[in-house]
Amino acid sequence: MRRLGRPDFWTLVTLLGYLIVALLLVLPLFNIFKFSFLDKETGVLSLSNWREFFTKKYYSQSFLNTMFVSVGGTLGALVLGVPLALFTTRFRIFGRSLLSTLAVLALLSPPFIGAYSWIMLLGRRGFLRLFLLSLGIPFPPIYGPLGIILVYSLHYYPYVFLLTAGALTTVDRSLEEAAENLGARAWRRFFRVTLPLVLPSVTAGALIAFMMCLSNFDTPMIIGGNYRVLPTLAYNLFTSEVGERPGLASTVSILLILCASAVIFLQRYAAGRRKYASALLNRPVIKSLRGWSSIGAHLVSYLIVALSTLPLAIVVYFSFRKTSGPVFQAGLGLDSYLKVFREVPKTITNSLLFSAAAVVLIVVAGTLLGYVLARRRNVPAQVLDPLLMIPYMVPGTVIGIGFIIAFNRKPLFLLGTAAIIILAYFIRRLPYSVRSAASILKQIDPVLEEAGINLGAPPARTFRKVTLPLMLPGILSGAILSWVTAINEISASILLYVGRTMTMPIRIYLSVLDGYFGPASAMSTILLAVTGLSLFLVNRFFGLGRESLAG
Amino acid sequence: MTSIRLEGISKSFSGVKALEAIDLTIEPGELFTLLGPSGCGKTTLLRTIAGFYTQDAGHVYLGEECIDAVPPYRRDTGMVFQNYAVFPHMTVFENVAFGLRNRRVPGPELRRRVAQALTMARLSGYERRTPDQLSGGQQQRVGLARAMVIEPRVLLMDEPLSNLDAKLRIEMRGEIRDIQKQLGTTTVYVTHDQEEALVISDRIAVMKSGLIHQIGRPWEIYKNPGNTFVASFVGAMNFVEADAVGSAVAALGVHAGGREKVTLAFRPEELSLAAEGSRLPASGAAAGRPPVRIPGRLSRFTFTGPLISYTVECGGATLTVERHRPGPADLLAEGSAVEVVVPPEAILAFDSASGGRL
Repeated sequence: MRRLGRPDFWTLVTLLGYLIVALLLVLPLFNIFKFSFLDKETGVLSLSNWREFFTKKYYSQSFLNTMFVSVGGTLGALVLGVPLALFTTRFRIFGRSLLSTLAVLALLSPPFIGAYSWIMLLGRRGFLRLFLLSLGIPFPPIYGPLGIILVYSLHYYPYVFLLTAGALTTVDRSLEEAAENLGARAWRRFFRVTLPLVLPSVTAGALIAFMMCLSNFDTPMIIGGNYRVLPTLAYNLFTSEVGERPGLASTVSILLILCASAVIFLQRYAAGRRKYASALLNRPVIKSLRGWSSIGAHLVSYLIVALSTLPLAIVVYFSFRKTSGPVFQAGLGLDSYLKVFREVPKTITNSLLFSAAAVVLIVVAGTLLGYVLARRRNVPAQVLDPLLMIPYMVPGTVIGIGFIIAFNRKPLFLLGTAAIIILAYFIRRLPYSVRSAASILKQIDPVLEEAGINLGAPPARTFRKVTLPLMLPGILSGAILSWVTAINEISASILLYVGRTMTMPIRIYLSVLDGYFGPASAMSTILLAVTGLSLFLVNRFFGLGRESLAG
Repeated sequence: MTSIRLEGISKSFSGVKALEAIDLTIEPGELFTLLGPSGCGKTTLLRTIAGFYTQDAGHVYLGEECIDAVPPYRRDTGMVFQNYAVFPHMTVFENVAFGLRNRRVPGPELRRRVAQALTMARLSGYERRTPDQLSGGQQQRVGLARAMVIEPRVLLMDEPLSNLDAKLRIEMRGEIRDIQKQLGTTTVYVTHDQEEALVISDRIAVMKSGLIHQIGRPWEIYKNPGNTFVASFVGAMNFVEADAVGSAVAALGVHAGGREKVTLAFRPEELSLAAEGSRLPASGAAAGRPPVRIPGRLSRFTFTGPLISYTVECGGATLTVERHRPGPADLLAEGSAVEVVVPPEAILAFDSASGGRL
């Protein structure tokens, strides 16, 4: 289709894509790879790191731990997500759009807010735990694997919910009617027809949740106690003041990438089988429930969403409590906010500036590269496609470690700069942006671009005048979502920050570690407000696309 | 007014040949149609002229200029697309002005030319509408105005009417022809609708499997098809395999040239039905040779309003006979025995093996 060999604007963009991949992915990842095969004593090539990881129980146990909490979190997400999807799509649930908005808000808020909120509730001095104890109900502190699983389940169930709900609303009603006509009762209909039809989407949602649990860093760091998982192990090995082990940290990083790749592979497979949605759609009927079943469905739906929203509400509430040092006092006030604005205003401006800069880069590069992948089916573009998807498989902690190793010497010395944090935000979010731009383009008939070119507009002008305006709503909503993820990013930036480049999530994390819950709550509330406002804008003007969240 | 010359154009898509050494000259001011079934290469050829495909071999000339190396946006062709390709984010005015803006036409002239084009496409008053407020026919008029307004060297139309309903299609093809004649712009028109091709074209190239089978004026293509494919694709046609060894075929004026088999073809509207064993009207004898009478059984009777179409089983062959302006006497019962009357001058003969005309 394309004239090969005639370089134009898009050739340049393709080259830019390769440059991004080489500098921000290949270089850091290659360094990690290399480090994992260097002996810590001698510096020669060896398998000593790998041997040490698998022979020392201290290390290998963290692998099993990771699997345990990830499987637990995923099962929890399924248990919460599937019923919520079923109830809200098939039964008349009062306030269902509010429920779904709150679920998305919970999903996009940083997990560490949920984690420390649960500590405030059920931690050693958690008030809910103290209350239970005062009633004579023994309740162990939440720290450890169960706490992690609780936070994961409540944080990641919206993935299962969104994908399942999406599939449930596109099951052709005639299929269920056919089953009914052939004599199948409600339960049998659900298990033999409806569930098999949506199962690929349920699986896809569960795998995304699993993937997120696997690479999550902040939750186990805050609520895990001494429970080590791979991301926290990598972080500790890399940053530990005494006896840091970059080689072993690299080995752990590679293991993380391998696990994530396997999950991605499974997820793509599951998503690829999701072909049941029919084009000529008889939308499923939404049934009105009566009496007890209606109350039951409402109760379950509201309970699930309430549990996931509770941590956010707790944080907001505590941000307005009076404090004295680390201790909350009776009464409400703006102490915490004043403290934040007085002591660390820089972290707020840093967060806003870095995220804004990253979003600009993400939008420009994502849109242009998305165009190349969607419209140029030549060999360089086809090779670039999977390369740009690498960040999906690389947890933030690994990006952070890779960046430090790669950019610690001239001419690419970036340690301690704002640039390195912005670039980390950029590369982590880029694949989502590229994918979403490409999927928007799939809905724009290429013949419109041919018309532009035929009328005398060269490719770049045609893109500007025809394609771009048509893509704009999708680009803007994608940009806002990128903004939300950037401003809440912690797992890479916590490795890359120095004092003057500290951001809000890092400050919150450090405050929590120090026990200063007041300022942490205030800053979390600011983050939540930014996140909520951004979501409101997306929803208001564009509608939340499932693919922009679930990748 | 520019001529288009194609010299030995070949094009394959991943090993499948779409065009095979096409040679073609389109005269200045001509409305030239590429006609053929889907997959015949007609759209590929059109898109090669537009520059959206690059030919594997051969050259494209506009006038005397070889445009092989000219990118599509500088070829100065005006294309009308099958699904309109009207920019959904621009008003009618902006759609039509788009090409002029690319050519940096100054404001007053731009407005004048857009207004003129919209008048010609009967869209005056619609300037501020957006495409979603227009019907399919109106959108295609925008597509047409947008292509004309730049006064391109050639107009390229890729099945411009195929997305419209039947009535509108007939109306629009007349308009397109009128506008084309008024402007005198050399036009290549792609369609799979043989009737549309006959109505609209100055000349037609009938294509199949990447090859041109016949080029000619509509009358020639219909009345004098060069092979069995053209005969069957353009209009309805009855085919009969005939033994050429005896004298029966020679008696019809067919020169078999030593072949054992020939294919005889005749159009439904040339035939008539007679009751079995009846006498013939006198006109048949006047032509010199007596008409051929083929006995058969009427298997289907179809009344379409202006005509009746009879399907007759004659031994091994199924023949279609049309009776225009039918009267009550033509209401025959299905299953009745009839004779199909074939005037000898209506018979076209083809080589059974190659399909070529004898």
